[in-house]
Amino acid sequence: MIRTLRALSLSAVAALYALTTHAQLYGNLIPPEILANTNGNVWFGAVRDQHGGFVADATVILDTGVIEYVAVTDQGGRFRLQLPKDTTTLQVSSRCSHPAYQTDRLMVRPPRRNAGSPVELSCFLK
Amino acid sequence: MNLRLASLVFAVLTFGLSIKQAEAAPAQSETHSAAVEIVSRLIAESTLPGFANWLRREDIFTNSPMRTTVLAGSVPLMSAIHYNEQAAAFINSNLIKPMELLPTKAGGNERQAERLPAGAAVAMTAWWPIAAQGITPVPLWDDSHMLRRSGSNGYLHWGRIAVIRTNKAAPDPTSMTFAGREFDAPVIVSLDDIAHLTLDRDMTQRWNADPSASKLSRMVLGRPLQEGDYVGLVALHLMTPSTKPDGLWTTMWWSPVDRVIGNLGHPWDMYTLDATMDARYPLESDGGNNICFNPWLDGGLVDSGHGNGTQSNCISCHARAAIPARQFWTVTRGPTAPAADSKPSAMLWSVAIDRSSP
Repeated sequence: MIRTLRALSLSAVAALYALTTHAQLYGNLIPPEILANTNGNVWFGAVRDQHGGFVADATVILDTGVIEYVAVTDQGGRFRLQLPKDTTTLQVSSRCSHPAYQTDRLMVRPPRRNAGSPVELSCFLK
Repeated sequence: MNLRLASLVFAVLTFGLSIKQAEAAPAQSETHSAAVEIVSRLIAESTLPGFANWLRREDIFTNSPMRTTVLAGSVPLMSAIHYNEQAAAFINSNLIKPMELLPTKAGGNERQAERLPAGAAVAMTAWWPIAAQGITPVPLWDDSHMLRRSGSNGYLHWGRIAVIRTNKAAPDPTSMTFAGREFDAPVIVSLDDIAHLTLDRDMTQRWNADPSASKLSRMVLGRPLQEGDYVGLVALHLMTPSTKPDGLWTTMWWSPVDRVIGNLGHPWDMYTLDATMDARYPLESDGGNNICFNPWLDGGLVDSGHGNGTQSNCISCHARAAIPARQFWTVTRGPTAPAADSKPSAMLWSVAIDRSSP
């Protein structure tokens, strides 16, 4: 019984991983059904300029070493991404950019008590 | 001793079978020539780069609009699918029906729904936004770069970059930043060096309404597309029937440094081409099944257990296209088939996905 449950949970994790890691490219070809139940570790944050203003249309890239995840900030300069559940904060290298700016610095605040989520990323451009 | 003899006989028979199958498979040079011929014809007919007289996906699936979305974190691309008249007519007659009317793979007229008819053609294009005035970075595929063995090798991972200049007054950059990475000595080209379209109002609105295209434009240009900007053709998949049962699969990508097509005129001499007519042959140098992939469209796909997108084959993927759509993200090479209880969709994932959506 325990073995079956373990196998099922491993299958579920594998399926989730496959969905999130394979969802690369092919633009808008991805059917919504395939994207259902893709809850993972949340990364969120904002991109600001040297005056503290929020920067819209900035790119945030989270690289797990296996695949890149990309967000573009909304009009409020904010973004939110979900990474596979088994991805730790230390595995992820992050960068942010905007064609009209240079990157100044990035700050990553890991979740409390060794939880996997949420992770806050603050990016400063100049 | 008997066991050894049996093994020897088995090995000889297997070898003989392999030789026979390999002889039946097209040689790579034959496949390449056929692909170049088709591309030449499309260029001569002014079909490329925009496929202006072909139908788009939304033209065909008007009764059942694509219910698609974009995963929040996906690497964006501007992509479109184009069908010529024969392909559109075939899809309308044979594949756009209630699911229960379509033949299953086990059914009697399965071949009709499994293959496009002669004269039909379907293409998938990928585009890159180019600023009307300025310099625009474009990643360049480089198979000598540090590629991931099983992870993604999408364009954000590539080691080279080109810069397209649309402002002649601007000095040539000695380095260029793209998506948070700095590249030294970019390859500098002009707009004439890439097949491109100028965006009119209608095209601008259409692309900006596409979440993936909008995301790409904001990533590359720092803003949505504007009328007067350009889109450059960076990748093209072309599927056409051929003398071989699985058809001819041609794939091209913009490659101003490593060009191999030749004799197609400018800017088509800035593209590289690969093609396949068989999921297995000709075998690769590793002894494995044939590989045919496009760095832009397949390079980002990660390993499903048989290698990542750089070790995939167009036919292996599309042979699984069926209703309901399953195994869309499985990356492999070698012969495959749709599930026994599924309804083949002429090797078209666009049809399979559309008809699988409720």
